[in-house]
Amino acid sequence: MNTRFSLLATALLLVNAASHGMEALTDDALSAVNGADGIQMSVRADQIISSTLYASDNAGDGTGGAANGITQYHRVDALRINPVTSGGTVGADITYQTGTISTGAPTSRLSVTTTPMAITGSGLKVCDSTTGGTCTTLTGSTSLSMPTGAQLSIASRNGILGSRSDQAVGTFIGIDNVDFAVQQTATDNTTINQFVLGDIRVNINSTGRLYVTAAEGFRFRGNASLNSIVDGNGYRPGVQLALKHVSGSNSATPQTGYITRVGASGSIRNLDVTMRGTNDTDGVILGRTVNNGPSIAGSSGLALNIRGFLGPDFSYEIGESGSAGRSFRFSQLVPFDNPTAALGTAAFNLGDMYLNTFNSARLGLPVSPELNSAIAFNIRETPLTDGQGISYQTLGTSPVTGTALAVRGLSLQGLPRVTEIINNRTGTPTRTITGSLLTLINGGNANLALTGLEGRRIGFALAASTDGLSSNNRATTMVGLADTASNLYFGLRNIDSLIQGRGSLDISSTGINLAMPELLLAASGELAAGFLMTSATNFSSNSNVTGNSRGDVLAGVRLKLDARDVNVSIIPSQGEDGLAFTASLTLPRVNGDRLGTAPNTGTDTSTRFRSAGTFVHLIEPSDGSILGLENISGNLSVLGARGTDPARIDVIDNGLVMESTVLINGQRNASNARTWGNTAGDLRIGNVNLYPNGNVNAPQRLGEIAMPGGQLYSKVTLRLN
Amino acid sequence: MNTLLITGLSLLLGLTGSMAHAGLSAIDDATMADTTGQAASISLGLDMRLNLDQASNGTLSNVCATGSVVACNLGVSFNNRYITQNGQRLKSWLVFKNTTAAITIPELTISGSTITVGGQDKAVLDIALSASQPIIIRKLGFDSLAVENDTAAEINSDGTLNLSNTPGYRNATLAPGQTTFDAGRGRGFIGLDMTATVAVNGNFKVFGCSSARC
Repeated sequence: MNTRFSLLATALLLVNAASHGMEALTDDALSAVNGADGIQMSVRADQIISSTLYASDNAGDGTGGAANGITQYHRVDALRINPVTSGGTVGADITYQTGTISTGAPTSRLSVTTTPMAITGSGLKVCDSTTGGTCTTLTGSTSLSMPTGAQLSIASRNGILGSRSDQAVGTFIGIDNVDFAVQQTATDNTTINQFVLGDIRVNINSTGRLYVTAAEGFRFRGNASLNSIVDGNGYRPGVQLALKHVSGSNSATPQTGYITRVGASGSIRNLDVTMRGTNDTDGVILGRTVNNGPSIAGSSGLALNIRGFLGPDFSYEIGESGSAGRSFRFSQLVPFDNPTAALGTAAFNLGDMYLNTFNSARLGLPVSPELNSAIAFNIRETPLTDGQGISYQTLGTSPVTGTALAVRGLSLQGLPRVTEIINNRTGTPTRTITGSLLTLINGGNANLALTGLEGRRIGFALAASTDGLSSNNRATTMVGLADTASNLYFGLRNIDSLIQGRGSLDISSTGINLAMPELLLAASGELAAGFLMTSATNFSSNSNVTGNSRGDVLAGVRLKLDARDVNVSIIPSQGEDGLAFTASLTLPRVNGDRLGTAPNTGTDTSTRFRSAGTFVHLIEPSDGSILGLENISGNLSVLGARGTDPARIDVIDNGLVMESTVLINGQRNASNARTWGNTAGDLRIGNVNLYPNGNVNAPQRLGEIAMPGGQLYSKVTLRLN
Repeated sequence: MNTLLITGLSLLLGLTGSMAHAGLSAIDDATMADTTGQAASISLGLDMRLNLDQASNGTLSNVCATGSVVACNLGVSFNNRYITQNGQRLKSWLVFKNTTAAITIPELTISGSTITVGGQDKAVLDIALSASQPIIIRKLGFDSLAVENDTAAEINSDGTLNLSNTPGYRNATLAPGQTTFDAGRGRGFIGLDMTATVAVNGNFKVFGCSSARC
């Protein structure tokens, strides 16, 4: 029994650090537990076949009728759980024990350990029935491989569910090397290509209280520890997820390629996890199917929120995937608005995450009013949002059935005081600096929707937005560099942004290809350098706000990229080469420019200004004068150094290398020969405008710039010193 | 609009030698023990080539081999510059034909530091260049500079581009005289080809200003 109770001790040990005034459980107390051996159950099977797994959801009717909405089902058919070795079995060992500790409080412990297993199923579907019926298939066949089995245990005092101060639960969740794959069979009907969310590792201990209420749903509050490991298989953080690509067939060994990886380790204080149902008949989450019509998300759905404070030992990683790669690791996080605060006080909120089916020709996303007014800077520009601050992304001319994962209100305001570049295999740093490459997000929103297969390709719609500066001027969205030794920063701050793209994803034998007929990127921010915030200063640029840092601003920047026919190919690396990609896009020309050149018979000759199309504005901070590069049009592609080589982003021992060639209005073949396009694809900056004193109604047109072709190669090596 | 240039982006060129040692104090062991890495600075290495391929031995070759390939031209049209022909106004372009550039900046160090302006400490973006890592410029220039005109009205009556117009910046007329030094190049009145090694020792300190003179 000693072994078992030391496991219990491990599960409950972190109560010591809990901040809810719970009574600590010591090893001594636990060793005095009186109880029986409990119940042990072992389940084994050669194979487990479950015909269908489904979850029901109500969604708004895309035609605008059916006020009560329609019921749809997330569904996976032909589900099979197989052993990973031929002739093996699948199953689980379940143990349940009860007893008391020295205080007399009753304890219980439930632990489940599964065998290794491989789960296969049909593609993900959204159907109108639990069996049969009409379905929209969202992906190719899916599989989940779990080569080491999963562990789950819950130990409790005074009952598992309850919010009383004398109640506590300790949980442990452990999975490792799990791969979730979506398959696409190639046109040869032999090769199977897979897009893999893989190398998934979750190893979390937590202690706290678990309870259910009508208003809050299922809720956990307590502390958690994300346990990293270095063993014979190398280093893995406490929570890890990698993107991979696998190509192969029954006759050939599958080739694995690596794309990218994220991970996190260390403790989280005051972790607060809420899982509940939603009733969004007001159309707050995804908007309405038509103006004043039914809510897209409908009257049911799943919501999850995770928030807490990053512990002193917390770190997160992002970089190359695969053991030969390198990653950036950020640690010692402090609140961005108070960089001298103690470690362990930086809050995070992953936002409200919603999973809903939909039946709609459009999906909505909140966009900040600041961005809307920055982009629609004159009356010729189309506003990004409707009257309610929602930007709608068109999915089709008639309602489309699919599923959407939505995130609302993501807030990441932790300032890492230390940045390292680590070796993925060992987890040891090859470079360490006191400072950080900053990525802060305030008011992050996102939609990821799957809209049904288009042939073999996965239809998708993606949208994301950020709020620049919070209403209290102390939280921001920013990318830049911070020197935490001197409390200085440099970067693009207060970024309001929106990105919207829809199209289809193709899993080919060479990589992941995205084809997007439309891609919109809009952003507004400030290029600034200055001191990090203190209790007396903030990131406002408004001279009427006490403590504003208007003087930090070097230039305001706002831009809109309105692209068509965007193709991006992500080419996975086989070793430590980092991320490789190629891209091409067309920027359409806006009619009615070429001001000042007769016959100037565009559709709109009566005013001094035109729609700016794709544009970049640089704004002088003291008087608001604007230099505008507007109506940027042409065909562009991004390649590597030579031939059909892809562009690369590679993390090296002490930095980052980015190598690319931008090809203007041309194509390049494998032997590096170029062919150039005709006049329609020329890169043109149709209007170079000056707006003195920021008067957007009085542009002074300087002229225009044109490039009929050409290529610009650049290699940027960024080293951390 | 001088303000855009002067107050928006104030540049100070400081001397490394005279500024680097000001205000330093001794660091005790306890402070050192607290330090987990060096103060954050990043260095950028930039290697950029416009319309030039580079062979493995470093030789540069033009992407546009002759003046008849107009893809490497760069056209600038100033507002309201045109000629009138057959009653139509044809846009005029200043065309840099076959523009090329190769610039290598081996190391540009970016860090944060402070300076005192008007009695106040200002945080500045400190961009440092070292003479030991000179900037290398090769083939910066263009074959010829010319003023060329469109051949037809640029836009149709509905505002769309008139694709039968050959814009001035696509003019492929070669320089006359096939045996002269500019044989095979686009016509024009001046060319530029610059190769240089630029050694700069110093720091640019970049900061924002909320008033005209900080």
